[in-house]
Amino acid sequence: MATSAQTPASHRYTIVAILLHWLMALLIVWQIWVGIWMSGAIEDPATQAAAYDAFQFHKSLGLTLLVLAVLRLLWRLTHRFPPLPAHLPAWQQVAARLSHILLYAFIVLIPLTGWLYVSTGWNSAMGMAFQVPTIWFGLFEWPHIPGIEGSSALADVAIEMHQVMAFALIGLLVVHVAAALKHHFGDRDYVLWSMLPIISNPSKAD
Amino acid sequence: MLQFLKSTFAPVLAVSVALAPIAALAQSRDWEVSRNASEIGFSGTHAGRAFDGEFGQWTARIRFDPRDLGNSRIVVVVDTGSATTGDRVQETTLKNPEWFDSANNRFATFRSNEISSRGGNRYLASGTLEIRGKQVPVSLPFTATISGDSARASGKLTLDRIALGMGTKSDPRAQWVSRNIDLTFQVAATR
Repeated sequence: MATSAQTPASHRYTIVAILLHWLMALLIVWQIWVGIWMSGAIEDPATQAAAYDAFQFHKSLGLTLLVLAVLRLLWRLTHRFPPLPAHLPAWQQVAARLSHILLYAFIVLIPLTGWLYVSTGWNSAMGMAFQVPTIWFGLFEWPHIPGIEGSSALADVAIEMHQVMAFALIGLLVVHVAAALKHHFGDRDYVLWSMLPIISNPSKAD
Repeated sequence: MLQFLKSTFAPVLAVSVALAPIAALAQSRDWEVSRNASEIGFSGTHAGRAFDGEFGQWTARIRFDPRDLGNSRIVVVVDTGSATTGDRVQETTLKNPEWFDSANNRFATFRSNEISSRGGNRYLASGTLEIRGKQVPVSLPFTATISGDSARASGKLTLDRIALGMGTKSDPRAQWVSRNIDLTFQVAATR
């Protein structure tokens, strides 16, 4: 950690931002995996019960992620965050900004479209009404967005967006992780360290 | 505290009020149901898994004499909003307009028209079930054993929820919730 002393503390994310980032990273990967699994498993009588449970859990976790995403966005807007490394070429600066804007948009919009979808009480896969309340981890009823119940058109759009954005997020996550590794092992700068300060900072100074 | 009192006693009060029209039936010959030893339950399958539940709030007026079936009568009033299964998603769904519609049709009522003997301790109560504001004829088979001033009765009735108009939008083909729902009851009573 001797080298990290040469990187200003302002190049590190705040502890709240770091905790939110890794907690959400874990939950999002889980959500995508379960989400893909359950959409198919619900059709199979052998896995219907488990998939039903997965749907209830997916809804609870998704709404939790929505709250966390909003908190995170507020945190981002009200706190200092590390600057991009000075060595970064212009196109990478644009790519970094753009990908982060997209990441923030997705982590808000994906759960939001999921909430919209279940609020319509419409099952787009089956093309019929399907009113299932959302009980947050079995504890209390999470309200559905009022005024859209029975809107099949909205349900179709919401679930389509939900899925398209989830798959786009997978691609974006691959780029995000690859970029972090490239910064750490290739450029040997502080980028990965700024969000994962338990690893050593390869940067000499910046 | 007031809220607690309200939520605890309002259903009892409401059931009592709903029963008022049939209170005229009440005579000293009526059986008094021991609520602690009695239960009205229901069961079926949901998402490929068996479920069972019970109604927390209900009341029954029972006049029953095996030697005088002509004057025997059973009226049961169930608070549909008191159904519990141990699963909050199911419990919330059951109250919804598509199922019990508890907000608009809080009580389901069974009224016997005729009780007949089927031999031994077996009987059949033919009557009307009023649920979701609709009346359907039902025949409720049950057994009853009387010893002195105490009695035990139990029975099972299989209901077609589609015929009752329950879950006909979300699950008309019973892909999620079984079409047949078993209603069971066990009653202990004294007089």
